[in-house]
Amino acid sequence: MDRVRDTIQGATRPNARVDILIQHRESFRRTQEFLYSEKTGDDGKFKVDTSSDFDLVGFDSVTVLLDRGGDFFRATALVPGV
Amino acid sequence: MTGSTNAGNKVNLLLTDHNRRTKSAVSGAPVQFGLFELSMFTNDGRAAYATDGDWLIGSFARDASVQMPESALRGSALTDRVSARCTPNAPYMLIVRKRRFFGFTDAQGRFERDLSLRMNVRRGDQLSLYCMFPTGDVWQRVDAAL
Repeated sequence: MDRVRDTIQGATRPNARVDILIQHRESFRRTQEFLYSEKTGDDGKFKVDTSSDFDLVGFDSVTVLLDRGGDFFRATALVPGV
Repeated sequence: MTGSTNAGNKVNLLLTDHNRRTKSAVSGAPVQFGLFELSMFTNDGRAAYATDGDWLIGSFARDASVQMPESALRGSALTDRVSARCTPNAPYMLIVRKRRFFGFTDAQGRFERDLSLRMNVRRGDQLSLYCMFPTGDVWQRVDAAL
């Protein structure tokens, strides 16, 4: 996750559809959710650019969801911050 | 210092005074889910604390260079008012006895809240103030009501 470039990159199965759910913090009380759907390439990598929607900032929550034959896999992390 | 980094990445933190003289430089690794907690120490082993005007530079993001704001935090049990100062034009969260108050600081970083409609502030109540930088980084100060 790169909060300067407003990008989120990852890797999973090749040629799979992944959903990336981002909870963006506008303040301590207000958050806004954004959902992106991406298809991975032959190398399994995906990349999301949020810059046209919002400024990715520290402690935004990112959840990547993968549906594999009815089983859901999830990875959650926070955008780097201090 | 607590924070979050990309999983598997080492974290370097540099704390300097306002003249960019090093107060502390530490390294560590995230414990779980990319979260880290690092204690800052000087070269001779004494604890180093971030004070107003100091800079904190982190390796977790290229824009992770934040200057500690001029700050104040005062609470009065007599008037049930809290006045504070931190980052200018920033979202803040004030917690007093588990009650949360939200708002934005003014251009000088100041705000004042009358809490009397929601609670009775007592002497010794812990006041926890959090202010958010535009980068999402968060500054915190704790004090007690008088």
